[in-house]
Amino acid sequence: MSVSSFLAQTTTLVPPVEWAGIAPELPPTAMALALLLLAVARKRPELVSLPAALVGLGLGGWLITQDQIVPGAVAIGLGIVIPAAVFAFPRRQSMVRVFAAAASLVGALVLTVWQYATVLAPDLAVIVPQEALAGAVANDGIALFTRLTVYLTALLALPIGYGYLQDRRINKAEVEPLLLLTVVGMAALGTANDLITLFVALEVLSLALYVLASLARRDRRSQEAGLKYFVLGTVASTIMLYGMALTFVATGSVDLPGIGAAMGLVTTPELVSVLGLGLVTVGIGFKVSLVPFQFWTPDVYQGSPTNITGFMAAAVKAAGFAAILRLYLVAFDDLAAFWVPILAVFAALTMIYGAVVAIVQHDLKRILAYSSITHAGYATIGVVANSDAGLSSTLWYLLTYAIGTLGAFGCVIALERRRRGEVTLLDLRGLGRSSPALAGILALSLLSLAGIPGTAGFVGKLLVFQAGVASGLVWLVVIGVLSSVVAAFFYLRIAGTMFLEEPDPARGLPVVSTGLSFGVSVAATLVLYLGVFPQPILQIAESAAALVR
Amino acid sequence: MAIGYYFAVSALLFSIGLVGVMLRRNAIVLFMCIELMLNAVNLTLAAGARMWAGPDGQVFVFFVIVVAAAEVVVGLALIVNLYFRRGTLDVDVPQLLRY
Repeated sequence: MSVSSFLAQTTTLVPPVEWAGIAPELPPTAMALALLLLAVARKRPELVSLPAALVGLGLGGWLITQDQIVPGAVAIGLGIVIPAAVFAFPRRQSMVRVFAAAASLVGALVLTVWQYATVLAPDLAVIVPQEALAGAVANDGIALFTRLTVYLTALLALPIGYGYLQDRRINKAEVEPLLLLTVVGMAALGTANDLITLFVALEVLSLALYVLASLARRDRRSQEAGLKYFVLGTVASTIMLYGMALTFVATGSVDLPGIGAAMGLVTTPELVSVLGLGLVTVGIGFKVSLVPFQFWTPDVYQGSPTNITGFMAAAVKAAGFAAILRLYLVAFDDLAAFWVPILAVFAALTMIYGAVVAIVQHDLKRILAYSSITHAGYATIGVVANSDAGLSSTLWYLLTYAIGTLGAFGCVIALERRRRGEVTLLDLRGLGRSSPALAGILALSLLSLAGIPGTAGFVGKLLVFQAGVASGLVWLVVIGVLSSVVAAFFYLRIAGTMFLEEPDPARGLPVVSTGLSFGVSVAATLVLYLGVFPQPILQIAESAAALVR
Repeated sequence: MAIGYYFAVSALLFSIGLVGVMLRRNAIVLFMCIELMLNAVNLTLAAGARMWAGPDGQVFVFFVIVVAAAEVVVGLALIVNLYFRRGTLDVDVPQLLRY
């Protein structure tokens, strides 16, 4: 058999791949591989950068001849950026990696917008959900928002963390590739429309994060955080996997719409499917740290390198809740009588626990960890509302939460860099006098997390509570408001420490590098912009309620 | 043989693994228990694939095997690092992350 006839026969067997459906994930994946190769090449970067440029230019040129102008331009841009960065920073490989990784994330964001404009919502009003890869991937509002949130978060986390990693001498070659792979896993989790894709995406993001959490190999706290996260995380993944397997056994289907359809049949054994639902809830509840599966969060957040913690706190929530929304609203829709009350109780416990325990903390990273637990509770209100309004409000909430959290962690990094240790409330005394810009940004991020009007967080909380009331969950919303009041106390206490107390001259000034000030400024601007002019993005969120069912 | 036995065995294996994770404190043993849980899931999936007579479950098993291999790589690296720095495999020994 000749080669050409073999190719002709096999290509008819392979189903066509809808590249447009997974386009935003391709630039970070390709860049992660290129950066790993670049690290292997060490002193001869031209061995990698020139072939990468050729591949990018060739692919881009071919795409442009196929009338795919935007993807072609992205491919060409990414092809050029590696040799350009190598040329610009011949002695600073870490700078090359940051620029190349940031460029690939910009490419991913451009492709997300391109996909939205050309495929998802051609008339820019309603989102028409699309399937790709034989139903394994769904492109709809959840996918769009998850991609926007995680790519934006990673793009801001890169410059914020650069100087910090250098200070602690953990700016190793694997940081940026692992970060890119995590982001790809998160975005894939937001698009996953069958159990296999969901599980693989979850593991891609988790495995890369385990390594990132224990990045500071010589720091025992980081080591302990990494090991704890790994053991508890894999156990949670495995429990969730067993739940998925039981769901498959009950319904005979691995794709979520198929499971949703089979759940409505009387022939489906309810005991097995409810057992599957329960185990899935335990696993995913762990990933987004809902009470009572939150016990790992403060330790892991405190021990991990701070830039990784900030990224983890912001982006993992977005990806995890994307998976929750899709699983519960599409696959377990018919079991709503079981999961709505359970998740509502979890949400109530989460909001109360996080807010109350945060009050007695002194370490700033732990405070933010408990704050992230509280916010998981608020986002869950949107899920248990089990409505279109709940879905779009959760997506919006996760975006605003991610930006506010990243801004706050960026300021913690600036404080941590002057002392190389834990940052407690005492370190914040008088920060408003000694470095007003940093204190202002930290205060703004915290006000957004507290949900003060005029910030992005206020709009998010308002929408989530509205969706809860509309679905008749008044008691849950009352608990949410009460917990917000308690949470506002500890957020405002931080702000008060910064602005009302006298600075301690012995503590010195925080270290703010260019990248860090760029990152936190962009985050603060977004917090204000989304708080004052929420309409454009909000409209997209409202039209995002159409799902692939 | 009825297919229910396979599900029973896999549930038993999964429970043994879960109890092991909760009770044992040696990092390697913990790791083995996690692998036991993963293989219990594989057994469930394979039996389910047989029951539904379709390829979906078997495809799932292959993905789980690959992911488990990747997990071993990351996990063993973390455990080796733990042993080098502390000279012990007990995951409970030094607890630095406290209030």
